[in-house]
Amino acid sequence: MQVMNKKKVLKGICFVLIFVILFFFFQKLLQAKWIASDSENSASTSAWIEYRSLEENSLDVLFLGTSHSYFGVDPMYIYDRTGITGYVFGGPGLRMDLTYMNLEDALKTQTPSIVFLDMSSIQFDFQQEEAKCHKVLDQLPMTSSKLEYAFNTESEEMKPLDVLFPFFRYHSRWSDLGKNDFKYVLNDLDDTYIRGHYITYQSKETEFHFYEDVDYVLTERNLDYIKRMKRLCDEKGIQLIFYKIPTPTWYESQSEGAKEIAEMLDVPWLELFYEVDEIGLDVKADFRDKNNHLNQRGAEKLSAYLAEYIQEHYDLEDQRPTNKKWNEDLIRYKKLVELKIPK
Amino acid sequence: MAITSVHFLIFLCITFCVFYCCPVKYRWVALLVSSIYFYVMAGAVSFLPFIVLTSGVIWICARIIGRLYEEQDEKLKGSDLGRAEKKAIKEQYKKRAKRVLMLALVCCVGILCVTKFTRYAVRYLNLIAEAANGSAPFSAEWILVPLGISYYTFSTVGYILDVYWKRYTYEPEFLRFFLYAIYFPHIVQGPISRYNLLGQELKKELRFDSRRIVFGMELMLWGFFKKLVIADRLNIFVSAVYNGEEHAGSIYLVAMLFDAFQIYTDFSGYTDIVRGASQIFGVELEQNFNHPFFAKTVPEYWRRWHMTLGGWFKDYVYYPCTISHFMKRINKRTKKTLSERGGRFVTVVIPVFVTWVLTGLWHGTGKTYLAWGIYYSTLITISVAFQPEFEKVTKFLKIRTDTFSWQLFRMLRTFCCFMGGRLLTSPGGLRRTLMVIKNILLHLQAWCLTDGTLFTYGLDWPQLVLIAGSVLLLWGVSMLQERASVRELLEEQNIVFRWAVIFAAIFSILIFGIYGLGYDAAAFIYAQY
Repeated sequence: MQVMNKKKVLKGICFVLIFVILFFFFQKLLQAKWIASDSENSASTSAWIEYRSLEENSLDVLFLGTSHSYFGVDPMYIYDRTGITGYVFGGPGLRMDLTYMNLEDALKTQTPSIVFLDMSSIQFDFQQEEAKCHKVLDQLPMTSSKLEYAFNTESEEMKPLDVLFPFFRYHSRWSDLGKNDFKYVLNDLDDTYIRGHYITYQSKETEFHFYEDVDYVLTERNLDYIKRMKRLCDEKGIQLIFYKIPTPTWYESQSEGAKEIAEMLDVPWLELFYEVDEIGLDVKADFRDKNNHLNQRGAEKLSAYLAEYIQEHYDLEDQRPTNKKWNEDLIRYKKLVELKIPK
Repeated sequence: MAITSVHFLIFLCITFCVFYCCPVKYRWVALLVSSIYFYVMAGAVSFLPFIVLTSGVIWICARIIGRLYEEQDEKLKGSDLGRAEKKAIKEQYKKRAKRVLMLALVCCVGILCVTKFTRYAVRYLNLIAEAANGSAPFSAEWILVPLGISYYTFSTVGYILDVYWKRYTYEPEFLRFFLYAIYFPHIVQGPISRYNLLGQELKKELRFDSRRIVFGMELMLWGFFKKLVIADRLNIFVSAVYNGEEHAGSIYLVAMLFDAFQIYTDFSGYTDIVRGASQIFGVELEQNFNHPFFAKTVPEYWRRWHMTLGGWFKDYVYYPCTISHFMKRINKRTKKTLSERGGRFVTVVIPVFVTWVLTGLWHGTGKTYLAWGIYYSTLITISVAFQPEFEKVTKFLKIRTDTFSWQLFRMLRTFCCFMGGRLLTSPGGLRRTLMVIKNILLHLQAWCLTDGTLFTYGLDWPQLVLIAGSVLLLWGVSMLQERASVRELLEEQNIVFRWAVIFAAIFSILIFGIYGLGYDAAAFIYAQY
C-alpha cells in the first residue's frame, strides 16, 4: 500500500515537472517578440539577447532610461573613441519602476563602474501601453520586484497573471508564429552588436526651449524606485549619475526637481539641456523627430561629450588593445552605420 | 466567478483541499459551505434569500406532506376499517397534502414567474400606456433574477412532487436538502437533478478515490476544450453575423451551422466541466447530453439533448397531463366524434403542445420562445402522428432503411430541424429570423464563401481550420463514446500515450482557448435561463 502511494506521489511530481517544462517551452515560443533588424533592436527582445551574450562583468558603463537614451547614446561610438565598454538599456516611455527592474536584472551579469540614469521619466505617473511594458517585463526573470509590479499594476489591461506568465497574454499568437519564434526558443538568433542603440539618420528641424511649465509632482512610486536604484548601486559599489539627454520635451520645474533629488541622494546631476551648444547639437540636423529624439548625428555628438565626461571624471581602462570581441563588433558596427548614412 | 475563470479553478483547489481534510462524516458540510460561497461569488448576496426561501418552503411543505402520509399510514395500519372508510381517509389526507403542495407550488413557481416574466409584462404595459398617455410609467429595474432560479426551482419542485406522489420519502434535515438545491456544480446551469439521485449521492460516504478524481479532471478537460476552443471561437463568428447588419444568405447558412455547434459545445462543455468537478468530490451528476447530433428523429434528439430538462417535463408535465381526467374526457369525446386515430391524435397533440410551449417559456419569455415551443410541438406531433404515412412513403419509394446512407440522411434531417429551431431564437427576434430566411432564399451570394468575405467575421483561415479539426475530433470522440467509455479506454493505455493525450488536451486548451485580453469569453448560453 505504501509502495503504491509512493509511486503515485512520484508520478504526480513527474507530471507537474513535465507540465512546467512544457509550459515554459510554449511560453517562450508564444510570447511576443520584437526581433528587429540589427539596426533597430533597441528596446526590443534583441537588446536583451545581445546583453545576455556579453561576457560577464565586461561592461564599464550602463545607460538607463527612456527612448531618449537609446536614440541619444551610442556605446560603440564611445568605445571607438575611448575604449570604454557601455550598453544602453532603454525602453519607450519607460517608467522608473520598470527601469529599476531592468537595472536589477542587468546587474546580475555585469557590474559596471558607472550607471547613467536619464531623468526624462521623472514625472511619468501613467502606465505605459501594455505592449511596451511587456517588451521589458517578459524578458525579466521572476523576481520579487516583478511580483510586486504584477500585483500593483494600475493598468486595467495588465493582469497579474499576464505579467507573471506572458503565456496567458500571448497564447493566441499561435497562428502568427514565424521563423524567429522558433529560433528564439532554440537560442539560435543571430547576435547583434549595436549595444542597445538605435541608428537612424532621419532628420527634422526642431525648436529648443523648455515646454510651457506644468505643475511638477514627483510620485511616491517614482521616488521610491529612484531610491531603490541608488541603494542597489551603492550595494554593488557602482557610481550612479543622473543626467538629462538634451531633448526639447523637458520642463524647467522637472529639471529643478531632478536636481533636488540628486542633491538629496547625493548623486551627480548632469543637466545636458543647458549644454546644447557645448555638445554642438544642431537643431536643424541632429534631431530625428520634432521635439523629441536625437538622430545618429546628434547621438555621436552627445556620445563624444559623455565619453569626454567619463574620461575626465573616472579612471576607466582603455580596452581597445585587448578586447577582441568588441573590436570585431566595432568593425561590423561601423559597416552598418555606413550603410545607414543617406546617400 | 465564471466556471471557466482562474478564480473557479482556485476555488475548486481550495474546496478540494478543505473537503478531503475534513472527516468523511462532515464532508458534506464542506460542500455546503463552498456551495454557498460559490453562489454568492458567482451571483450576489442578494440572490441568497431567494434560494433559501424556495428551498425552505419546499422542504417544509414536503415534510408536512410526508408527515401527513405517515399519519395516514398510522391510521390505516392495524385498524379494522372497511374499504370505504380507508378510501375516505386516503382521500382526506390526499386532499390535505394537495393543499400543501399547491401552496408550495404557487409560492415557488410564483417567484420564478415574477422574476422571469415581470420585465416582459412591464414592457408591454409600458407600450400600452405610451400609446394612451405618451409616457411609460412602469419600471422593472427592481426585479432581480437570481442565479440559476430556473434550475433550482425545477429541482426542488420535482422533489416535492415526488414526495406527493410517494415516489420516495421526504428529507428530514433542511441543510442536507439545501445542499441538494445549492450544490455548486449544478446550480448555475444544471443538470436539473432529481433528489432521489443527487440527494442520495450527497448522502453517501464521500471517500478519496484517486481513479475517480483523475476521471473527473479528464472530463473537465474535455469540457474546457469544448467550451474554450470550439464554442467561444464559433461565438466570434456567430455574434459578428447575428449582431451586425444584413449579410449574404451564404454567410447566414455558415452562421446557422456554427451556431448549432456553438450551443452544443457550449452547453455540453459546461455540463462536462461541472460533472467532472462533481466527480472529484465523489458525487455523480446526471448525464445531460448523449450525442444529440447522432439522433435520427426529433423526439430522439430531445431524449439526447438537455436530457434532465426533457426528463423533468416528461415526468412532471407530459405524463400528468396525458393521464389527467381532462385528457381522458377529451380522448373519450374525440374517439366518439372523430375516429380511434383522431382520438389518439388529439391526446398526443395537447400534452405535446402544453409541454413544448412550457419548455419554450422556460428558455425565455417573448414571442420567439413561444414560436420555438410551437415549432417543436409541431415537429414532434407530425413525427409521431404521421408515422404510418411516413413508413408507407418509404416503402413506396423503395428506400432501404437498413443502410448507412439512410441513417445518415435521417441524422442530417434531424440536425437541420435543430438548426431551424435555433434560427427562431439566435438572430434576436422573429423579424430578424425572417430577414435571415429571406436572404438565404433570395440573396444567397455563394461567392462570399470563396472571395474572402467569410474571413471578415473575426475568424481567419487558421482559425477556421482549427474549428474544422476540433469538430472532427469532437465527432471522433463522440463516436468512441457511443461504443465505450473513452476515459476507461485511456486508462488501459501505456503511461506515455496516456500522458501525451492529457498534455495535448491541457495545452490545446491553454493555447487555442479563447480567453484573456482581447477576448471576452462568452458567458455560457444556458446560464441565462
